[in-house]
Amino acid sequence: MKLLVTLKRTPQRDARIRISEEGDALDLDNVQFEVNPFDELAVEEALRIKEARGEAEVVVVSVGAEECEQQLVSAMAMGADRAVRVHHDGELDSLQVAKALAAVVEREEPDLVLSGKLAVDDECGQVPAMLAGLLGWPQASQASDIELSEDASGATVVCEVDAGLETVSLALPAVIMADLRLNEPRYASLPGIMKAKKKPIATLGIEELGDLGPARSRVTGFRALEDKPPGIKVGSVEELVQALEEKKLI
Amino acid sequence: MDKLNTIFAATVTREILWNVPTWARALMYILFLAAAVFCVLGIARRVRSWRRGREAGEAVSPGKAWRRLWRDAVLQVRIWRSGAAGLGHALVFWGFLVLFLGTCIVAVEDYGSWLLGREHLFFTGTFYLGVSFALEVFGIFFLLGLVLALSRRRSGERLRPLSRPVDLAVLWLFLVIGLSGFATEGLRIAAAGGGLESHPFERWSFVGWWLATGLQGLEVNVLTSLHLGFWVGHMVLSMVFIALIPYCKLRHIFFAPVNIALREDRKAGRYLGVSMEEVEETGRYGAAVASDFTRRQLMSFDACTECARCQTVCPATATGKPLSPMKVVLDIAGSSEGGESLHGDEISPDVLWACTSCGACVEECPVYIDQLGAIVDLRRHLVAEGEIRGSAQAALRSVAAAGNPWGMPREDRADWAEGLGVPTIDEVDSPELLFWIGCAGSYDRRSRKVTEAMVRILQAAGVRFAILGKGECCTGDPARRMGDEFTYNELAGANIESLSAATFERVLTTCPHCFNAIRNEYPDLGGNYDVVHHSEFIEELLASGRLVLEDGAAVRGTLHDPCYLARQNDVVEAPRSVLRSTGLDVVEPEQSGKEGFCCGAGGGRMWMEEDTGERINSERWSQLQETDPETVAVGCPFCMTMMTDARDAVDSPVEVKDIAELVAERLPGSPA
Amino acid sequence: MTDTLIIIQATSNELSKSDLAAAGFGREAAAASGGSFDILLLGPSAAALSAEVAGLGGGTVFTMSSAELEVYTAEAFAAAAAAFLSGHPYRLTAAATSSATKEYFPRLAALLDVPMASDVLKVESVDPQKAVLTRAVFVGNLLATVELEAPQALVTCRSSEFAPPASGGESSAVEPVDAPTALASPGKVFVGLEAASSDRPDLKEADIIVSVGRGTRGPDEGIPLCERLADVLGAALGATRAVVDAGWLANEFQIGQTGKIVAPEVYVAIGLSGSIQHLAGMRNSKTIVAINKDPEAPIFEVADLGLVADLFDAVPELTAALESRGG
Ligand SMILES: Cc1cc2nc3c(=O)[nH]c(=O)nc-3n(C[C@H](O)[C@H](O)[C@H](O)COP(=O)(O)OP(=O)(O)OC[C@H]3O[C@@H](n4cnc5c(N)ncnc54)[C@H](O)[C@@H]3O)c2cc1C
Ligand SMILES: Cc1cc2nc3c(=O)[nH]c(=O)nc-3n(C[C@H](O)[C@H](O)[C@H](O)COP(=O)(O)OP(=O)(O)OC[C@H]3O[C@@H](n4cnc5c(N)ncnc54)[C@H](O)[C@@H]3O)c2cc1C
Ligand code: SF4
Ligand code: SF4
Repeated sequence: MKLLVTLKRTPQRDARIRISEEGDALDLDNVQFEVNPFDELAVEEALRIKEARGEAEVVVVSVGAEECEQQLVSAMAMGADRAVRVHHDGELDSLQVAKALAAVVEREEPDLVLSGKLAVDDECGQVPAMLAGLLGWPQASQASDIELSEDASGATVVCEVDAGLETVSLALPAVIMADLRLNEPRYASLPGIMKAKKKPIATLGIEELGDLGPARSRVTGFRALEDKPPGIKVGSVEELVQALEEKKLI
Repeated sequence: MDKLNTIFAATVTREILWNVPTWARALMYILFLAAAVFCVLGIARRVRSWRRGREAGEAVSPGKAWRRLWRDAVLQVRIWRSGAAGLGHALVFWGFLVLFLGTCIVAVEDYGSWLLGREHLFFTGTFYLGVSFALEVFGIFFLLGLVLALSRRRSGERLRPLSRPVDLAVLWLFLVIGLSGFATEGLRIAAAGGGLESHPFERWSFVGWWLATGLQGLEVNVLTSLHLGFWVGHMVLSMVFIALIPYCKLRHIFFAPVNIALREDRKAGRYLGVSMEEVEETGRYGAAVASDFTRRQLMSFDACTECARCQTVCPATATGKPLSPMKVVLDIAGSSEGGESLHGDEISPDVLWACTSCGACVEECPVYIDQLGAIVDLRRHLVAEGEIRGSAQAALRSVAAAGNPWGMPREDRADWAEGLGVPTIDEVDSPELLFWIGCAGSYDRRSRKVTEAMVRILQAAGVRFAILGKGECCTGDPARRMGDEFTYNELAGANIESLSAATFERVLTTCPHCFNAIRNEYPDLGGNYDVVHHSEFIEELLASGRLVLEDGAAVRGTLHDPCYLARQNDVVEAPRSVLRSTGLDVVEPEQSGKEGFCCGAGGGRMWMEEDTGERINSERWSQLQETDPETVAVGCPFCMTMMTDARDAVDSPVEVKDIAELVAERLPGSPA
Repeated sequence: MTDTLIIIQATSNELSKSDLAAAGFGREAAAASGGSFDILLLGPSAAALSAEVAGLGGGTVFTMSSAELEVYTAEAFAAAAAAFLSGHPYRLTAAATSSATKEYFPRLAALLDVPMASDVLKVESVDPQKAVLTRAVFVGNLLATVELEAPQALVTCRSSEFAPPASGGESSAVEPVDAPTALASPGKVFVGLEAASSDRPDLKEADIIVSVGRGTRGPDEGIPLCERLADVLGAALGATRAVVDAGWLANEFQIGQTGKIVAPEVYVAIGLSGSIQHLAGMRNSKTIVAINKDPEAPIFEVADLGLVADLFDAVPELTAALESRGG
């Protein structure tokens, strides 16, 4: 079977993000990047499915500029077989990204698309569900457990919903989004990193993928939450309650 | 001939193979041939298994090899350290060696005289008596050593859980060979040539003589047939022994000297690097199967005497973890002829992650096996398979991404220095010292106090020093100990770049892990620096009078030696001398100095939960409490955490302080 | 002109706080565009809830239900909403952020081919061609201004940021609409739901965590006091390793480098010193409150609000104060 994992390059999770002086962009100069942590869970899940079935191809796909090949390589170092990068240097909105990915899915014809539930930078959490909608495929979000049927025609997925744990069954092909508890990703190994350098990354021009429509969602400015004030000591429980109320925390 | 021969009526010698009929001689030659073939084939198989390993490391010069053999094989210097067991082994070894030489002399005499057509060669007169006497003495040594060894096993000494039935069998085999040898001799003296009177000089074989006098009452034909019986028994068992050597722990007889002579010279704190080019080429990283080890490593595993000394001192074994360094060595040796994976139920991830990299096993092994190196290679394989999870993986990711294992922001690394008047390296022109702070010293609020104390000391002594500031990052020690060479290389490379861009005389560290990495491991990557631990540096300051401490009340205390300082780097005296000058009355715990017991934090254990068996830090804490201290002094931020946590777990009022803090308290003008 | 539609999932017989907050968003958006808002109740309880919803100040309350909407699936709900919206185009269509809208709203956006903004905190302006909204990004550390440039767009909104509209105004008209048929995607079947236990929230999900250290002196002394506080706050309970080692709480409560890593809105640290091993697991919490009797305790260095006090006095007092607030 073929598994396709969507993957976004995001700033390292502990990095401090600053805003450019003009206030309209992020200053990412000294920031390290990594595979979006939720996508890493998706890659791990794909690899586990591959290992359990003994046979499967895991393809990782990212839409972005050249730098995101580093993250595709990281995923291949974990064990993904090959990568596709849709080249685009600049801003896209979620729907455009989803359309680009849908075009890749139509070419690759995977049996299952695995994604992270959210990209930890922009935090829209839109792309995979949009992708499912565009493809007309069933979807399962915030998955904490995925079980494929023997013949790979369907999957039973446990999803973390507000009310508890929801179990759904999906006919494949489908889109499934990984949540935190789905698994614990493996450490990209040293020989894996070496091997990954030799694995193929196919690059597609975004214009090859048909009309993605205009970008209708644009970010025009950033603001830091007021810099965290230095900690204070309060004198009594009463003052503590007051301070909590002021911060709208209770 | 010799004067003696005229004193005694007969020639002073004995008839070799007296009373041994042709069939028995034939049996001896056949068995010997068989045993020798068996033995040689066995050795060849082992040697072939080594040759499947990788080639790596530097050759040892012949002079050095001989010196090593003399010291540790012949004189058994390293073995002596372990008390009764050492004595036992030395006695057996010397006994065996001399008996073996004796047998060789007899053989040379026998074949030599036959070849040259002479009645005797040299096995007569004084020489004969001397050799006979020596054989008696060393035969007794041999037996005594065996009895000592057996009684130690009989008394079920606690630390030998892996002593197996074959070990006992081997000792009994030796004992029976030795006893039957003496019996054969006694019977010969009693029966040959018509009795004792015919060869009074045999008194020199005093054990045999003594036995023979006891056998006087028996008839000659009984004595001769008994003699033949014992001779055959002795001979057959000896052949069995020869045949067995390569197939059980006896093989150390051959391989231990080889390893002693040819082992690689490497401190336990300096790991064998991995070349990224090689990994790229072969896709091989770490040890999955025996042949992934170097030839020399495989050879060394065959030197194992199964003495279990390593496991006796291993803090993991001692606290009920599934790890035994001896078992790891034996498991690898056991699979070196096949190609099967080493990893499984026996060498499980739990076994491998239990190691604190304390190096006690390496320090203790009488035949210089590097168990820790083997464990690291096996860990590397786990890392290669991505089999490093949970908090250990999180720590590795954090060191790679944030430059410290707790994932604290890089920008905050020098926050501790605010307001302390500590310059960074670009603010001082070639300072005397570069003060390397380390991750704990930078971020851990408890260890920061140690850093601050050290700053006060440096300032009081007027030392010109500087820090790297935000440019410093983790030395890579945790990554390396956990088996991640890639991350280690990246971090070490970045640090070497920063260090080499600066000018200073020496590097000072308060963390023995940083100390070890920069001092012993950075040179392999091209970073050569003169590194001192703060205990050494303070000792120098005190000795040169640059630092003067105020007197104060004496305090009873003890020192917990950091493994990476004392054992791995031989810094034992400096912390003690500094502590004494602070007025601490240092009472030594039973295990201290190079024989210290680990706190449990090394080898990446600092970032892993310890949920099997006893906690190593608690075990160490109770050992230290036997000295009844008011203060426990430490010289390492990890030991600090471990000892503090162990103390708090038992709610004890004993203070845990770093050497630098105790010194800073005695700086003129500090509040006591 | 009605230009905002609020969609409320009607799969239970009660309105939730977030449904009310969504109506609050509707009012703000309507105010920004100078119009009003309608509400679509989607699901089996639509009729039952309509009376109550009619009092939220919207224009029209539409109700839609059918056998295929009986249980929620993203596929069916997105299809139903798409069908409704293609007949009734709205400037903005919004719902409160929830596990359901997280999955069916983007799907809906794809079906309609319209842009969307997730988890919006504030409405800046709404023009016919452009809606300007504020949302949080980078784990809530930054605010971003997002412009949706289209005549139609979707929004999910964070319920804590929008006050429910004052009820009591004129009651809206209720208008049932037909659900399209053959909604449910054949590919998806709901199998079951295992309700979250009503006990304290899960550590990793909790907005508030009350974390206890050795200073609480165990289950017979301070821990029950802290548990009461946690209950009053609706908080999860966490602990240091010292507490777990002493056997006072089970392993799964441990927070820190070898325990769980958490980042709640509020972290209340009680009787714990703030070792680096503990900090490694909670330092990304938004607001850290510390109660410790030692003014030198390192936890105060990372705390936003510190109270130097004996926890045996302070914790019961705090619990009582919060209870009396009617929290
Ligand atoms: C501050 C900010 C706010 C934004 N707000 C909006 C907004 O409100 N509405 C909007 O339409 N766009 C918005 N964008 C643009 C949007 O972030 C990008 O289009 C992005 O590629 C998709 O959104 P996301 O990163 O939030 O991904 P999410 O939808 O959170 O991503 C979920 C999953 O989709 C997959 N995925 C996402 N992006 C890619 C990619 N480039 N390549 C491969 N797989 C991918 C990954 O598997 C990921 O785990 C915003 C951008 C910024 C910088
Ligand atoms: C390998 C390893 C992994 C570790 N992993 C973790 C981990 O994941 N998580 C973790 O938490 N720890 C971890 N630790 C342990 C860590 O080092 C500390 O020991 C531990 O966090 C201390 O817990 P504590 O703060 O509860 O106790 P203490 O440090 O003893 O602090 C107790 C505090 O309570 C205060 N106090 C006492 N009485 C009162 C009172 N009546 N009123 C108010 N305050 C009072 C005291 O002033 C003190 O500050 C780990 C340690 C090691 C070695
Ligand atoms: S290094 Fe220490 S912990 Fe590891 S095996 Fe050797 S003795 Fe045991
Ligand atoms: S490895 Fe060394 S110390 Fe350990 S059992 Fe073998 S010979 Fe003894």
